[in-house]
Amino acid sequence: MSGPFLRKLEGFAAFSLDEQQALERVSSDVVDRRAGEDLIREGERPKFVHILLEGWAFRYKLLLGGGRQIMAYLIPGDLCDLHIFVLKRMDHSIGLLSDAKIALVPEKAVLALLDGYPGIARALFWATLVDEATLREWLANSLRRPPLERIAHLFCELSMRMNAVDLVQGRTFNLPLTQAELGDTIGLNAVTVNRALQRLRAEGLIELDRKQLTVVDVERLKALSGFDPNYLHLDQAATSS
Amino acid sequence: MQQLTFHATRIAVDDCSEDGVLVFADGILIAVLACLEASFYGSDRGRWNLEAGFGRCAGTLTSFADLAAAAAWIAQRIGSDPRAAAASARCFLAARDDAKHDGCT
Repeated sequence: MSGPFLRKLEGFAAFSLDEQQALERVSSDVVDRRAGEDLIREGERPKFVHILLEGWAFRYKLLLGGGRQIMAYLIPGDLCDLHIFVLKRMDHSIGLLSDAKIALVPEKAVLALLDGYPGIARALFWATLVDEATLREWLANSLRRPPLERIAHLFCELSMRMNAVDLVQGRTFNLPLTQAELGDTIGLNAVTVNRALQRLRAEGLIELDRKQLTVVDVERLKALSGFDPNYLHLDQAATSS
Repeated sequence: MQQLTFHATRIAVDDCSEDGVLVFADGILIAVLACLEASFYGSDRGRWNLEAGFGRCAGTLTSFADLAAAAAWIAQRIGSDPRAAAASARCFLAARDDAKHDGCT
């Protein structure tokens, strides 16, 4: 069941058979969860590290007055907080955007993996660094780019991340997001998101139909938003071996 | 108590334009609202979007069911009477649509 998890970590390191089996074992306790559910809420004490095997999740904070800020999307292969046990209480919530399959990894198993397999520990450390780098990129994107470029940049990133775990068919991938959720991600309202999507369609850059996003012209989409994939460190394994 | 007044305008949206209003509080520009007319707005069509807010209306991303609801929200933000503001907005729209202005302020 650990397909996308292993696939993602292999982007950061090459694993021995023994390490691959250890990763399989640690992600073998799988549960099905439904879209709209929270994996964990702000204020709760985490019991497991969650590994997303299928579906999409998001990190968010609720604001006074009913607003919501989305701070990350988690796609298949992503971990929800390796070092979660250090925290006594969650400082944000993680919700599901689609039905999902999730591996639950107890604290003991995480610690055994980190202590017993330095190669895996290093790959997980890289994955955490990439999460932080992505958050920095999102901060710059949401604060400094105009609406059209913000959405274009986000679509470039999601396309590359989905591709890294083999979830892009041709140029199309599943994007289980509403316009309101996109707005809550990049600091716009649904109306502004809608206008920007119309423009991206009219320019022949994307097609978006029934939550399937097709990046028609990735080079122009990258150029429009000044997208540089360096922060995703997707070539880490190639340069480290 | 500050009075809201409205001035009809056209607002650039992408390469097109939409009907909009400038909203003044005692003669000072406080908000710019656009009426969402295009078919691509779907269920938002006919709503009024806050394109820009100033002073106590700055920094908010929202849209409203109609202009009266937008006016009531603006009035609340500036400590004015929401019901009077909503009534002014309805009167403005009626005057605009009928090209009559008698009795409206």
